[in-house]
Amino acid sequence: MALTTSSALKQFIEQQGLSLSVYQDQAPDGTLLITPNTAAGLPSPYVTVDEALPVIPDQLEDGVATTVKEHVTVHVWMAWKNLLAPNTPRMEDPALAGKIAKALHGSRLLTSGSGAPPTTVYGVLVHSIGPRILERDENVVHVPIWVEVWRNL
Amino acid sequence: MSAALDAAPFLKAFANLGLEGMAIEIEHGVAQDIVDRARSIVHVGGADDPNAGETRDSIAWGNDLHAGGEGIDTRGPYIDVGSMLPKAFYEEFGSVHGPAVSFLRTAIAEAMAGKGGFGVSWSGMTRPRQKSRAARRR
Repeated sequence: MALTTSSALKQFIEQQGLSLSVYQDQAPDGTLLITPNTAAGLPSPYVTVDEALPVIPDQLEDGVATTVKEHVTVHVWMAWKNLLAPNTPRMEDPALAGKIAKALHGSRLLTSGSGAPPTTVYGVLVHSIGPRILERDENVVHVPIWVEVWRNL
Repeated sequence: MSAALDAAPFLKAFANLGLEGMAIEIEHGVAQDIVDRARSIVHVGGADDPNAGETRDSIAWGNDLHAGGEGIDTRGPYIDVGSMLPKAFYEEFGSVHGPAVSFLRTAIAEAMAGKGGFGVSWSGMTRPRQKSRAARRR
């Protein structure tokens, strides 16, 4: 069983067949968005997850909080262009954030084995995708996806 | 960066009954709650930071944020909440240089709790809210 919401999201997103690595909070130092970082390199986008922006209890039932809405940001990071290749071809996948959001929206993060969420998840709601943030000087495209996880406390 | 809050269904019902003023008053209270909470969360900076508190002080709603930051359009009453400082954008969403401190979304989520939900739409540095509103009216 996953210990945190972000690890449950990691397991779920990595099982979607999108060839993505997912990290909690921040990618390890040295993680490349183009591998290898040469003219012949291929895009290597990754995802980071900020969990528990707030965790908001729902209305009390029988005097106790039983369910919550946990707000999470799923950050998608991509290289904008391959600056080492001739004509600097675009490396960004403009559809990637949408694919991730589509997989998440309405899901219950049901994964087998160690990826199961720590508490019962009733549903995932995608609040918004974007804004797409181009960090031109860093050659990075960043798309935050605002997600609500409706789950047991 | 600002987030436009579109009224919840019950506020739209007020508006449909010709009670737009009441709907807007309710939104003003929610917007002020969001501003107060966002200011309490946002990173302020230390004593050695010459711009300490700049982002906090820039958080506002309605016409204090920018002209035309509140009103009624085809979707009902709306109000803009946020900061017009470019660096607030990166504090909210993070960048390759630093993690996100999501002061605005946290404040919105807390204010939305128990209020039946608001529509939220973002405007960033590249698509100012005023332009999109003007485009919609045409």
